[in-house]
Amino acid sequence: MDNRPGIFKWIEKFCASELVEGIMGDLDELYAEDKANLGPKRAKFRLYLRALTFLRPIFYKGFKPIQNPNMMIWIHYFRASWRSIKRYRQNSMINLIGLTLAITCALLMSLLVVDEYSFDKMHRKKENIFRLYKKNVNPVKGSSFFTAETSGLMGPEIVKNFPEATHFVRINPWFDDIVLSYEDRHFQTAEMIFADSSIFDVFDFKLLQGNPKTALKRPSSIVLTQTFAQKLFGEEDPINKTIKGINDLSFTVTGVVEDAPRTSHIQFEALVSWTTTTPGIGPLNYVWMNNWLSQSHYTYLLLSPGSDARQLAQKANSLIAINLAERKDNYFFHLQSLSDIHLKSDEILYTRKMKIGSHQFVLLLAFSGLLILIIASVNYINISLAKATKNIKEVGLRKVIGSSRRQVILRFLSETFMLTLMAVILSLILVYLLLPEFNVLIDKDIPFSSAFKPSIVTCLLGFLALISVVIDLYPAWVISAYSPAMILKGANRSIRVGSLRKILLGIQYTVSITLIICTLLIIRQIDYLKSQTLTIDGEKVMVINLNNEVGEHGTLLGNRLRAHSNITSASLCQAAVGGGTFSVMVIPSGQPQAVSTRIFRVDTHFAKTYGITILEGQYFRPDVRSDSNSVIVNEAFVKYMGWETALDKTIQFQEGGTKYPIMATVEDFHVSSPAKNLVSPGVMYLHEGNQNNLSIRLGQGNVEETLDFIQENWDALAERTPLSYSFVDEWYDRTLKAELRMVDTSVIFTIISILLCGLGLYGLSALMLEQKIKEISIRKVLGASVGALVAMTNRQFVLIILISFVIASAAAFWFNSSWIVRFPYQIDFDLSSYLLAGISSLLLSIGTVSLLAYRASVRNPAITLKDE
Amino acid sequence: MKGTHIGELEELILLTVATLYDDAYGIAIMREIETRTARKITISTVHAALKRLEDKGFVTSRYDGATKARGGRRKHLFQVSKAGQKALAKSREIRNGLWETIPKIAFKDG
Repeated sequence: MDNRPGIFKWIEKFCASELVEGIMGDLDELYAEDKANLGPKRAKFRLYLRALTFLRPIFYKGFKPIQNPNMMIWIHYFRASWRSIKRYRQNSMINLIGLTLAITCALLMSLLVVDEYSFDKMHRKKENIFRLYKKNVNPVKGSSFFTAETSGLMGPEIVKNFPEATHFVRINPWFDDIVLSYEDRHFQTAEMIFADSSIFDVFDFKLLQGNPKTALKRPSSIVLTQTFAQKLFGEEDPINKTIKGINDLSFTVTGVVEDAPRTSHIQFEALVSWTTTTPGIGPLNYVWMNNWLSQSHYTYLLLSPGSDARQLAQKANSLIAINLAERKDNYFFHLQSLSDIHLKSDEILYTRKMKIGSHQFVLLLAFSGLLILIIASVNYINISLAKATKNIKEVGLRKVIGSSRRQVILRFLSETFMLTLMAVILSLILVYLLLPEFNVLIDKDIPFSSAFKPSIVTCLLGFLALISVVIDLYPAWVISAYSPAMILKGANRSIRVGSLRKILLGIQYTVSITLIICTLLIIRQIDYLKSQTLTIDGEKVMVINLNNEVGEHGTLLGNRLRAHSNITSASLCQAAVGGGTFSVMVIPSGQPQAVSTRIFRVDTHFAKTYGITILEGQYFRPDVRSDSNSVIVNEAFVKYMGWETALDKTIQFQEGGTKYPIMATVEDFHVSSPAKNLVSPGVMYLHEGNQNNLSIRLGQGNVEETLDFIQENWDALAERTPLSYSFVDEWYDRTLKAELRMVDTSVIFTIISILLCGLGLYGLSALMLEQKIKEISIRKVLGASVGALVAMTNRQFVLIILISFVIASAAAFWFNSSWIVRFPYQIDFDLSSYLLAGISSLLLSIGTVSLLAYRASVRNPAITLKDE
Repeated sequence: MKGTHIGELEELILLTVATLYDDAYGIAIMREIETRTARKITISTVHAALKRLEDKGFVTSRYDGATKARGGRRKHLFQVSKAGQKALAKSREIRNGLWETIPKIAFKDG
């Protein structure tokens, strides 16, 4: 045949060799005929169709016959296992569900852990890159904290003075969203950062266009990420184009950089040259970014290989002694290696706009995953042991035919391996389906493709091998020990495993009840924290940020909005919940010591807008002139001073300054996360400058419609800034994000563990009752009531659960007392959580067992006893 | 050995193999059946049935008679075996028996 299609090769591979010649000959003959009658094209088509019909099982040459006896015995094991799995369908299902859940959990946890540890590993010089951070000590109070914020001069000075540091990179992620405009296209970015030109030397952020040496050298240079450049420029070449950015300044696009890798703790959409901010050089003239005093930038250092980071940090302290002598007792520098930044920064505060994970949270999740794995494994062991009685005849027969003990064990291990393999496959499917939800839950963006990373695949194979050996070795060991003579005589039909089964069940219950109690306590604690924020009726208050072109029209916007019937109050001032407040020292009248106080610059609508209760005195009135020279304090201030009342007191902002009378006390409310801070002493006064925030209280009416109204009014004033606002309750939830996340995850883990425990208990008691059915029947014949039989079956489980409850309570109490101290507001010891957990697990178990026991007890003894 | 039951198509093919005697290969069998029964049958179905018949021991096969149209390949030629003959005879017997026991009256209208 001239040009034979590839399908012939398939046939040659697929069909039995003794048929191939006949088949291909026939095909060729028919083809030749078709070609003559129909032409080559149609002939070929028909040949294809005809050839395809030969790919059916009957022609298949079959698998190579297996010659190796070892292989044959393994195939036999798997065949026997498959039959056994099918035969004990209920137990197999319970085991499969349990293992699948557990492996799914474990797999998700591994994905998380591997992902968290893979951060910042893409930089070639990662071994030698360090971030400067400092311990900020308050020698008077004796308190201290760590912060990653440094001054803008620290990096340059270190490199200038100490040769082991070869490069510095300063990074300042900008605080607000910035709109970048090219011609009539405007796009907002939350990830604009100021950075030194050396960023491309030190890190491996890849510049796709532009020169890495010079891109960020000159003032007013901007480098955009690929994605952002595409949004802003479309098909146009962005290089050397002029765009409008921060403060309406013009910037030249000098480069396009690859999007920041997902696993980089530094995230950006636009990089602006640091020189833009240098006074005298760049147009921004930000002294605070380039002096010793202001601490708000991140400094990265590249050290020459082999230099001592600890020593360099020591030397950095000497720079403070020289240049910022007044802080030499406050600041103590450290260097953190790049690979530690993402995960080991739990203690370091002020890591603005960086992707920082929580080591604690990762460990907690990994530990919970392990617990689930243990519970599921225990289920498996228990059910295998209980099932052993059924398998014992098989063991006897195998041994008579000549199986060694090892072979019997392998036979049972292969069954477990098969189930585990199925569970692994199901888990992969489940992980694929659940990963998006999981990502939301843990606030990450792990792609499913991570599941095929070598490290994860190793983990999976590890689970597979470990689980199938570990969980079945003991049951297989026990069952294979019996001598065939004894088994086949039928003398000993039930296997004794002593108290192991009870201990295992106890472990399971202990873990599960501990999880339940802890989860209940966590929920109550976080609820309590949330209730702390409700002193402000946050539900209907929104805050619009005016730190942009609309700022100058703030009053106009406020007045227009107040006209709407569903806007009950609007406050235009600097202070808002979620921003606009700051701390200064305040001297209360007649006190020698200044108090660190949070300042609220407000207007006359503030209290009404936020629904703040006035405890004594009167809030600022619009038409009373003297009010603008008075202040209002909060409860925390009064408490801190130990005053009875604040109304007859005054405060000063500096020694010898004006004394401002206090005209009211307001209740405490949070402007930071209630999980981290107590409400600090606060002072409010009327102030007309910096009116950056417009807080709006919405009424009971249609929110959508009101929002449309606000949008309309905004659009009338804003040319290129989109409306950005946040609701106060959502803001509070964000401050509690880590805590709320913990609630969600622990609830899920607890549900899974309860489910697994329930399944395990169901499987176990079903098997035990089946073995005991004769005992139950005889008792029944002798006159026992169904109730008594159910009670008898329950007795041993109840005891185990009670013991588990005691141990679990102790464990939960320990956990709770070590966890809860981290919060400034703590719930009291909560007995009801303990009782609820104990009673609910007891009732659930009794319910399960009773149902099964009842079914066994009502069976007719005549049937169950007939074969003896 | 697998079951020795013989299906309708198998019987038809077996008979055709016997008819064609020395030239019973795939295409010839297909043609013969097509002309005699006026029913369309694909070449792979013929091959499958032949394979089944051979597995049951009703036919034997050999390779012979290469032609140019076949790309120089030999034909896979089939012959009815002793067991095949018996199976055909048995099947015919059953049918004949049935035919003979049909009461005349049953077909009187037809």
